[in-house]
Amino acid sequence: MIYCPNCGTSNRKGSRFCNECGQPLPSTGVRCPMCGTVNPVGNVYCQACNARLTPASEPEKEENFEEQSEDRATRAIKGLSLPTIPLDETEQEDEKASGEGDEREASPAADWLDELRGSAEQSTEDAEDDEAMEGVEDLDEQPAPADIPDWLSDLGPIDQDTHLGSGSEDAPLEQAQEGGAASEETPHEEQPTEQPPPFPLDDITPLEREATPATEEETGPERADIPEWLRDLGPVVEVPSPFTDDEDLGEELFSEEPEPEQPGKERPDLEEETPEWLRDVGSSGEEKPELPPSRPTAADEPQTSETVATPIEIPDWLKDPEAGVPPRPPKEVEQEEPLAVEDDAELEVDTEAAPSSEEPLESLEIPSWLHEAELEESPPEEPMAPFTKAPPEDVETPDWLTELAAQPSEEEGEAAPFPSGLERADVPSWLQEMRAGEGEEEEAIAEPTETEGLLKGLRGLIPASSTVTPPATYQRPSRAETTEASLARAELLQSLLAQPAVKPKRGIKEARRDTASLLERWLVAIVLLFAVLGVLLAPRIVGRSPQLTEPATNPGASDLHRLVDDLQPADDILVVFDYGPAEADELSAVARPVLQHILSRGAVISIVSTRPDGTLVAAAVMEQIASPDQYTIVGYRPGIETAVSQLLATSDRTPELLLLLTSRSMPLRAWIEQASARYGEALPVVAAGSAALEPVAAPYLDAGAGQLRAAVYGLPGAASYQSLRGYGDDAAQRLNALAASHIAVVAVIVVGAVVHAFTGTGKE
Amino acid sequence: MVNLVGPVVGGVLTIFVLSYLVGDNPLYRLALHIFVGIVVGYSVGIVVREILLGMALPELLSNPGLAIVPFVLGFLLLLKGFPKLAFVGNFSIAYLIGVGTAVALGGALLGTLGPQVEATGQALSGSSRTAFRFGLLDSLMVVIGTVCTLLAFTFTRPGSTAEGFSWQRALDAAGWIGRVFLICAFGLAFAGAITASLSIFISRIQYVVDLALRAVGL
Repeated sequence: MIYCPNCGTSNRKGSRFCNECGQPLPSTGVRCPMCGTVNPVGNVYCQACNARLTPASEPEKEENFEEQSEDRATRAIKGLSLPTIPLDETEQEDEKASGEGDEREASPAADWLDELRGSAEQSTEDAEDDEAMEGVEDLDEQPAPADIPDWLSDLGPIDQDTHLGSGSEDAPLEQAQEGGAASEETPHEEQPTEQPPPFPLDDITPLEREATPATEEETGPERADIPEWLRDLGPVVEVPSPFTDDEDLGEELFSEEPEPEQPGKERPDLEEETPEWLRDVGSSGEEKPELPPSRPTAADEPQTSETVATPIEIPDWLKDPEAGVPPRPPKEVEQEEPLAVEDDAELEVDTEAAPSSEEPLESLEIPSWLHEAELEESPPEEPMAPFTKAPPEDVETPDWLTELAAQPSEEEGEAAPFPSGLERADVPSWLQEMRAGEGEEEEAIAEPTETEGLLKGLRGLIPASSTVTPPATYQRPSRAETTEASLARAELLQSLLAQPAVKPKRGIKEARRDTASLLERWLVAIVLLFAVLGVLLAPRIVGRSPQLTEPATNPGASDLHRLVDDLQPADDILVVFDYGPAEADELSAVARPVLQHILSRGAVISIVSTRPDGTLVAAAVMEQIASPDQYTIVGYRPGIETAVSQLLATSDRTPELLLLLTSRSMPLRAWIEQASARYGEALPVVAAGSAALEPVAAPYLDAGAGQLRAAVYGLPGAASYQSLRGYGDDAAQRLNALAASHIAVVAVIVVGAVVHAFTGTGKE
Repeated sequence: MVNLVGPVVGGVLTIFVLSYLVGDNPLYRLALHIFVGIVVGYSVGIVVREILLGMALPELLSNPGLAIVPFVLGFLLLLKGFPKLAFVGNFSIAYLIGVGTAVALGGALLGTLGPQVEATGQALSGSSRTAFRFGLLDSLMVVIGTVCTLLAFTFTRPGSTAEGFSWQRALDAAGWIGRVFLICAFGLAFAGAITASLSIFISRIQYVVDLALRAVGL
């Protein structure tokens, strides 16, 4: 993964530009120009084929080289996607150019190119740095125009611009305008001989690499030593005729990655050897930017450089492209295809930022066709491709270049030139209608128009504001239209609502059910009343009570009786009254004999309760069976567990017996647990509770647990305890009444079951 | 005369309560409201007299440093009556619930769980068997009933083993036995509740009968 130094986006290994922001990524290796193998940075020779990866001579200005390399790595390369020369170098040369304004003014073409560079120069204020000053000093050493050969003089303005350098970001563009030939026709002997590679080495195609390492030591002096046979073979061998048609030729001329300038090269015979077509191309370089940006391929760019770098004769196949040209190696094209696409994308972006379209053209010699195109130019806010500038009039533009130039002029102002290999898609009619018209400026303001791409001119694609716009003023809704039918329904509803509520009549089944329920309730009540009243009133009516049952010998009552009997006088007995008036009829009957037994033993009773009404019941019970000095009502303690724990914790001494009088399971459990936890078996706990409490207390009454020593429950327990005490006819009478009520309940249940079984009412 | 008012009022209110036999009626509601009001009023009076005046105030006067915290918590609890400030009373509620839970948990572990488990284990001992009426049968009933009742509340069960022994079926069977024990225990509790209700009913009827006989001079 390669992380973009600009935005931090992770890109695939081998990527050259960031997928997110388009910024060039730092190279991770050096691609061999011969075999394509990616070598680590710093390798001088390819690890696969041993080809040389770097120039043979080290740069003299090593510091400058390092600075330039750093700048090159961090600075975004604008303009054409594959600039022809390093930006640093062009900046230096631009400063040189600014120092020799006289020379540039001598040529009209140089003027308009200067104007094109103007905006770029304004934006690059850093041109006054030390590097630039050095470049100005070196400018004095530049060859005079007179030294330029004739063939180069024809291309003079372009050459000067090229070599003096624009120093801006459109340097690659100029290189493209000048064509590959012009880019090579520079006084290399005056340039610093140790120029660093203009671009990362992996960007240079193999054939380029053959030209780029040319230095003064290698090319200049050695070229003179080239034998005749090698010179003759030069054009044939080094120019493998890659062009298949005019378009390809144009692409090669606009190669985005031409050979960097090699100052050390001397090409005194270039003028003589420059073919006619190349002169035309060089002089009409301004037209070429109108061409679609070419795709740099491995086979294209070096041929361009070699074509100029060597004294060649244009072969027949090059003069007549129709005569059959060896096809371009498709494999290399495929390899470079992704790069070309990226370059094209970058080209579109950079053309928008190119300042050349904003330059005044009055002072320039602009051909008539360019004037026409200028009049038809799109609004100034739309950036114009810099390479759409008109060529000088004195340049003969080739037919193929004229044709290519004519196409963008027809669609000028609509869209940026399309890259080669792509065709403009047909926009459907419905989409065309969305384009902003002349009289729709206001709507266009509200809904911004697309300014680029295939959808250029369309509006409404991105809403300018929220889709829901609140009304400025409140609008009263219109009155609803009513029909006769709706009015009739409304009147009917009104009449129904106005009528008094009528209680719905019960159904027959519901009435029968209510009657049966009422009869059952009355039947049960009558049976119970007769059963209880019969037992209670029998002694008064008959003279004796029916003996339906006798108080049985209850083990719990026996144990409790024995424990109370073991009490000594003045023993502290803690009695818990945890029941209220609602349960008093049952529990008081149970508690009364036990308390009387305790009082008979001379023990001191302390009464506590965890219920507010418990003390009331305690007072009522104790008033009946004891004098006030025999007991103490400690009072009410809020909370159940906490109150019990507090009471047990704050007691001065351990009571001899703890008697629980309760009808609920929670207080019983709380008292048993807290007493067991605090005192263990040291405090015997007994209970006199409700009959409903027996299942809850039974586990604590178990012999193995021993937490509850003894317990009596309900009227049977009370009757049993009274029988042990030798008194209690009252309790026996209640016990018989309880037995009679039990018989009555059982009888009701049996009768009801029989009735339900025979009548079948249960099937409903 | 004064001694007669109380039993008469009590007898009348008892009849009012028994009037529920014919359904919900104003007499029953009147008696119900009277009882509820009396209990609440009496409870408030008890709390004020015994808690606030009997315990809190003397403690606050004698040792205000220790009583400040309970008073603050009590004051926060009073804010429960104001909806906007009711949340402040949650601190007091949390304190009460936390302390109560801690005390109850300790008591349950030390007073119920531990002794009951120990008693279940001792049920099979010789000394314990002698305490039961049917000896070993009672001991087995205690152990089986305790274990099966606990297994009845087992809701997650392992699957069948490779040897064919199904833990799920065994637990289902034990749970079924435990549910039988639970049904018996609930039936016994319901019977005790019925007995308690009938005892109260008999006492009330006896009270009314005695009052009526006293009224007629018998």
